Amino acid sequence: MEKLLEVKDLRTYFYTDDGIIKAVDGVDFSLDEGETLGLVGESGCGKSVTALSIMNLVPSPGKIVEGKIYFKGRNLLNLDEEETRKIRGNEISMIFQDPFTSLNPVFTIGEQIKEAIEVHSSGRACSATKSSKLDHYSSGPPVCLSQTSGGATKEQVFNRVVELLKLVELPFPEQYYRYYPHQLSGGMQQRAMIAMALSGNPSLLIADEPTTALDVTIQTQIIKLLQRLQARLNMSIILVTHNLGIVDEIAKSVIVMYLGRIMEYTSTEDLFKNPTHPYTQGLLNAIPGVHSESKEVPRLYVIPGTIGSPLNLPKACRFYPRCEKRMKICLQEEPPLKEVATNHLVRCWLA
Amino acid sequence: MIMWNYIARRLFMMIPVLFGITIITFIVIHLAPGSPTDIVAQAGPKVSFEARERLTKLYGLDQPLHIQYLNWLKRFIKLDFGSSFKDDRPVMEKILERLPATLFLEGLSLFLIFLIAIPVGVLSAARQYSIFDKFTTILVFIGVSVPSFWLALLLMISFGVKLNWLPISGMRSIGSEYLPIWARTIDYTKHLIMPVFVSAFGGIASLSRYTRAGMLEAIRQDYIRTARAKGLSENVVIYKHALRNALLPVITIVGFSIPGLIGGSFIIETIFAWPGMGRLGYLAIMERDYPLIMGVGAVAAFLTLLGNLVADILYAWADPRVRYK
Repeated sequence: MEKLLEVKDLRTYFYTDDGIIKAVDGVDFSLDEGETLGLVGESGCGKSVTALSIMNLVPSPGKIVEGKIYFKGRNLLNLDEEETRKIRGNEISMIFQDPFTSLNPVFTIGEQIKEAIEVHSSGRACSATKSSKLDHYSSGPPVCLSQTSGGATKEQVFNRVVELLKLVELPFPEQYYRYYPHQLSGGMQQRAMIAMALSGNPSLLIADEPTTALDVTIQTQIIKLLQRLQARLNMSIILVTHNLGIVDEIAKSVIVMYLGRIMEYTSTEDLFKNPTHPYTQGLLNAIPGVHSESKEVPRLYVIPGTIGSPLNLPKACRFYPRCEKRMKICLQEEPPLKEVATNHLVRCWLA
Repeated sequence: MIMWNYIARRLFMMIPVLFGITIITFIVIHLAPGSPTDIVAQAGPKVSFEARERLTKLYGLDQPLHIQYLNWLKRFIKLDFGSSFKDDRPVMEKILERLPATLFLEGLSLFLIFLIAIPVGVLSAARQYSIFDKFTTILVFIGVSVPSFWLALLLMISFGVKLNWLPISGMRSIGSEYLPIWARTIDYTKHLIMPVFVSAFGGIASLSRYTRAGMLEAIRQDYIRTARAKGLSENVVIYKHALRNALLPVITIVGFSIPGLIGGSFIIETIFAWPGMGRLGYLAIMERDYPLIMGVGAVAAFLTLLGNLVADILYAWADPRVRYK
């Protein structure tokens, strides 16, 4: 089966005044249709930059210097600006960490979703399979926006916005259409962002820490919503997160990143059962457990040190300065990403 | 409905501010050396001491300062600004006949400031560090640094005296009322060019800088990334999503710039002999025409407060976050 997404040797560097920051440095992974991939690691590991690279939205002074990103067989990095825009927000969508700052404060929720629909409504082929996905769930008429050359009518677009707001389970969608972002709670804002992202029936949704800015109960709601939506719409999700609990809940496979490199790449089940890289082990140990009140609560594990400066990378293994199992060889040569079991890749000499 | 309440409340709040402004103006003009009777005395050295005394009494200047102010205030509440010391005409009448010329000149300058500064600011932000941006940065630097009176004199020498293209003073040529309408319009326009340009010059420079800063700030925001992630074209991202947000602070700055324009009108109208309120005020100060100074001061203060109010209302209209509070 052809992969939906294949990232090959992706390298995204930032050319700052202080030097080159290798935020993403030779990353390979792939994603099947309908699969959910978790991308974890501490802040500064290159997770978000990997996500933004797929959207080709790396902010200046960052640049994708090498690599190929095949999406449905096409290399996204070979597309011109126009073709890239046709895919963005349409076949590949993205939601972000802080929904409040990610929504434009001066336009209503409806206007912002409407805009996402309208920008892709002309010149897009309306395949039967794509449009039928939503039809079972929407009460309104099926919207296939590009059938008429002039795009959709105002009413069609409005109905589609309402349908999307219903899809993300916002109550009173007609009312929410007219609300400004600041009138919504954080969770509702993120739902509106998701509605916007779903407007083009994406095959791939990139969620960059979608719940980090939300409180815990809302986090669960949003994750459950994403799960339901994924099942309905059969889309793939790349979930960037710090939260291994969320990964365990919805991801099929996981990539653990550290300083621009993949450290461990395996199925979620495997990762929790058999974490092999010392960094992965450290991350898992750092999850607080549930303890009964009577017992003494053990001190939470902390990976020693902090993530190093990306400007001044360790020569060989990038995790060397913080690793508790470091050896001589780790300082001399960087370990390759080795397949230790079927579909279980680890970058460590111990593996 | 909420909006009307807000406007009414704001108008009501203007009263104490206006009151404070008149007190300060009153104190300052009486602290300044010289008195209206000096001018009369200078006109004829033979004016006797008794005559000066008589004038002082007539103007009520022999009374203590606070009584003088209260007397003024009593009349002011009834919207009576008193009469000018100079020609005994009602102050209100003198101001009203000059006000349109000032409002026209400043209105046109303000319009020109908007028309030029906002596109310039937006373009230099959208193309930061481009040749255009660098060029306008230099122009802006000159614009905020050059004193307007100096620029006015320079323009008068070059375009008025040396080249003889534009008239150097007044609002229209003598006898222009006998010209056909189109010739009158041209004559009028020619008189306007230099005063409007000088009046707008500094404003264009500073507002374009504010717009540029606002734009650069807006472009860095998360919602711009969202707009791009939607697949919108760069033009829509910049000129819709960023611009609308960048213009919010600009509205406030326009409110602040109105006092500057009114203050500037004193200088510009005097230099170009523009028959407006600014020149009237300048001459009144020179002649220590106390009622006229107070009148002009009160009207200028009222216009300033009104400008700020309009800016606040516009802001509430433009920013939904303020509107719904």
